[in-house]
Amino acid sequence: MNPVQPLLAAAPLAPAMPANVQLTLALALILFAIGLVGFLTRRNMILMFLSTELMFQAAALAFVAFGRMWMDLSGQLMVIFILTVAAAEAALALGLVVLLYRRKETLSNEAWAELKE
Amino acid sequence: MNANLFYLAAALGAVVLYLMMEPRPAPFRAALTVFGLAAVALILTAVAANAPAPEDAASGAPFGLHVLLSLVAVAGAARMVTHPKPVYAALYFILVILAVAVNFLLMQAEFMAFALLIVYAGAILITYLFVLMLAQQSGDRGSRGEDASWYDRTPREPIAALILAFIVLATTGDALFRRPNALPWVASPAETARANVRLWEQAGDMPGLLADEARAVALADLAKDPGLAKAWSPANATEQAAREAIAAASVAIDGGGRRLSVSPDGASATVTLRTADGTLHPVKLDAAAAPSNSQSLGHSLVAKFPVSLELAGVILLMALFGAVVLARKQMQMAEDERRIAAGVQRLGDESFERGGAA
Repeated sequence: MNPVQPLLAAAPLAPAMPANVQLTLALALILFAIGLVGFLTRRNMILMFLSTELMFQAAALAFVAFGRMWMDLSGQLMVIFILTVAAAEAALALGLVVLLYRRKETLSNEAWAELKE
Repeated sequence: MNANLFYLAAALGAVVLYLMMEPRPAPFRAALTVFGLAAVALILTAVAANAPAPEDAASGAPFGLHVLLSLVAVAGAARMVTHPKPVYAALYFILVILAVAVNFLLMQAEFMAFALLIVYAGAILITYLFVLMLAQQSGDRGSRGEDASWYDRTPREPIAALILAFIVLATTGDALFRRPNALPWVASPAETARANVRLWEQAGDMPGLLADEARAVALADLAKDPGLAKAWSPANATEQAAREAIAAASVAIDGGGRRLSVSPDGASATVTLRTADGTLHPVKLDAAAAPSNSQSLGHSLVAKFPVSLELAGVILLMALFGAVVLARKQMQMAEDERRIAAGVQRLGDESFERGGAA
């Protein structure tokens, strides 16, 4: 059934290489940190949401890496739900941003500072 | 992990990211690229320092490919959060998604890799690009009438943000990697065997696929050894008759209700085919016949997490409703106009007729 796993004659699922799992987790950490920086430093509301998508990516990567480590599919299933939430967030957040843009003709988040009161 | 190297490299990366936030001349940018990639490579080296050598693993993707993908992903992400033009930032994010998707492939998450490409790069990012272009087409003057996109070129609180991100990276990295055996990093042989047995049990829940695989293996065995024809069809021991017998065979269910028996190490499973005349033929399936990633994922989704699946559907439906409500244009109408639009007559008002013909 699976043409992608010809290497694995001994078992359908072979254990992962530790170095690869560690590298992927480190990549997830770095991407999350960069996404955090982007969310805090960007002034464009759309790019702030894009930075949260970057953090979603990092979380998905960590889920897949841990799932590979424990040889469990639940990690990959969580990624499906991350995709769902990301899609819902994109639809709603971008709709809101477009509404706000229609009122003030700018994407800067500082134009909406009065919302915090 | 080499902790000091990790912190130093993370700090170097933070400095590079800070310098990237303002537009710079080309030679300076090249130097920043070199230093930034060096910082990422140092972090990866520090983290993977005490991992076993890549060569002695039974399987797995090339180590160098992982490093290369990580560099591409981090470079794309850094450029995404610093690029002065929003559309380019979105395009750099697509680069990150591509690198992450290939990383998923190397992690044997084939279905998720392609779902990520289709859903993220294909749908979500296109939505972002649409909105970006929609919001910028009118030359974006800003409410205060100043320069078009000052807010895309000027970072807000960069030093505080970088310090916070450095703390997050350092503490999480420390928790994960400081002690060499905080996590096993690789499944033990017993866990591997259990995972494979679970995988085969999923195959047992897919009778059609299992029967197809068993018949294909039986046909292949027959092609290798024509002497087997007599076992499959004792009455008429030709190869043609044996092929027909195999094609008509069904999978027998044993006393425990199982369609296959798995070897203890999970490396192979045995399926019993029952021919039309009632004789039983065990067929051994090896790893190539195990359910693929997408088959197994689909099975788990329906068998293990059905409620979560429904909840995801509800979330998407709510997002759909919310987007429709948000995007609807709100019209200001007077009371009478609203009545006319609804086709309702005001009480005691004879001058009003439906259709507008007075």
